[in-house]
Amino acid sequence: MIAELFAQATEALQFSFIQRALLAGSLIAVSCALLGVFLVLRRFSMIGDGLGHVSFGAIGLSLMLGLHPVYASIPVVLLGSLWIMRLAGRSGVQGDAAIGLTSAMGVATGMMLAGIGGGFNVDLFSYLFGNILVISATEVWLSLVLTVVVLLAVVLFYHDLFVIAFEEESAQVLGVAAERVNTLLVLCTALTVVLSIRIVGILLVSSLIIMPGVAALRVASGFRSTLLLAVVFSLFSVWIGILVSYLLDLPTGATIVFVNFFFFLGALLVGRLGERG
Amino acid sequence: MPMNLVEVSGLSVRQGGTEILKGLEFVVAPGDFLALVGPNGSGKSTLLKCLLGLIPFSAGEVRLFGQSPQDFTAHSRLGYLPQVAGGNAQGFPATVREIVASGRLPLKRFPKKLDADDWAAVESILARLDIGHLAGRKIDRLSGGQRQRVFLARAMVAEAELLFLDEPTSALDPGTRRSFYEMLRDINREQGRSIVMVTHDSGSIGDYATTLLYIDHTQIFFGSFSEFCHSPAMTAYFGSHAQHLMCRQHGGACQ
Repeated sequence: MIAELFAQATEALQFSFIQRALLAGSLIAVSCALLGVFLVLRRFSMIGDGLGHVSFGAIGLSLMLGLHPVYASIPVVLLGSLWIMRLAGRSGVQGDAAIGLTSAMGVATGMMLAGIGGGFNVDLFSYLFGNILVISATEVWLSLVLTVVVLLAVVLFYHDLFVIAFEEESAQVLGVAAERVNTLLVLCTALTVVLSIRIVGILLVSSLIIMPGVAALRVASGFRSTLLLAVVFSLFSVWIGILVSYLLDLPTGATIVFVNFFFFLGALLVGRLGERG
Repeated sequence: MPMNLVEVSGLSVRQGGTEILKGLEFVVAPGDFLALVGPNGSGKSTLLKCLLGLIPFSAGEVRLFGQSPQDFTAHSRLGYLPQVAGGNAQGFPATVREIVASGRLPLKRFPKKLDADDWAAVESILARLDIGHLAGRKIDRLSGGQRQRVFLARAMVAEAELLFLDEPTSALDPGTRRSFYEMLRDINREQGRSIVMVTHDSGSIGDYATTLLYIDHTQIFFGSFSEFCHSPAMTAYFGSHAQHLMCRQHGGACQ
């Protein structure tokens, strides 16, 4: 049985669509995990969900106008992320409410366009659940560029991100340009969300951002180790999720989320045992 | 004559249509230990945040080291201990050492990197505040009093000339509070650093602070403690009996 599964897995790795999915998935996993730790600590993790819903509206608009759904969505979702930040910042709307409001408008826009335009409903709704079979080589390259940008941002702004995550007010007094760093963080998140949609779908995109970070926070003792562990959980979730979904003919996005959830349960258990010990 | 570290004239702050502060006029000179006192909700923390450029003011002028708070660049000259320090401390994956080290960031340029000198400064300040044994401990494993010392260490680790402390003793027991004030007095008198401290602890502060600013949305009093006890404005505000009680609490500073 195990030998047979191993043989099937080896065979799966020969397919170019699986290779592309693993490659793009790995790159996105790294970005999601790194950004997720900062977003979770700032109580802003649901922004992934909100931006996922904005992308639903954006994809609807792209399909209606005959544009490429992923590429054309990028500027709209970037604007959506800045809008959420503005609402939650200077406009004084609570962060979760700002995300909820934008999220609802994203879904409503998508549904409205689907209703008006017709004909592309099936295409639009396919984005809700993701489809790794259709990841193109261009999307792999885009994921690579995004991951390099996120890695550079985390390395170059590590200390700034650290103090902002801990306490934004003190960060400003320490001379950190909190608004600029926050803008960089949400723009990277917006790009990550759009590129993650092919892998897990709009409905589950926030899980890639939230789960690895939350799991790592249960067991890591320092800030660097939390980031590192979140990346490890995220990578293994994507690798195991893609292969298991192929072998057992399961939906890929949901499988990745389940693996992430098992990592979280394991981390919860280890964390509790650590507290008792 | 040395330049005042803080100069405030005609300062008013308005939030949501309500005037929180009106017509404040005071200075903080090098070596001053200013106690910022007033009842709950009188605008003390708002004033501190306004001085730090965290919230805007509606009228007047504020100069911090000669600069406007909005264009302030000399962050390494300031240390700040907020009223509720470490808002995200619960579950935050950082050690005391990492938190205190972040206080060295104003000394750094992009891309900010901490070096051996920074870590040595961290160990030194932790030892001086008697919390060296907590260096490797996660911040959310500390008591309120221990955390307050950690955040004070963060405020002091860059050797700032001016410390803004917002109710730093609120989580301390009476014994620890006394030694904390003594430590602040050393910082102020031995090291010559200036301190602006929001406090409700009127019973002790007269022994340590050099000047007092009493506000209740408007400025009731600004001056030395001896002036405070005989201030007609304070008598009118408090009533003579209440003022007498408060002055007596100041351990003879008014005599």
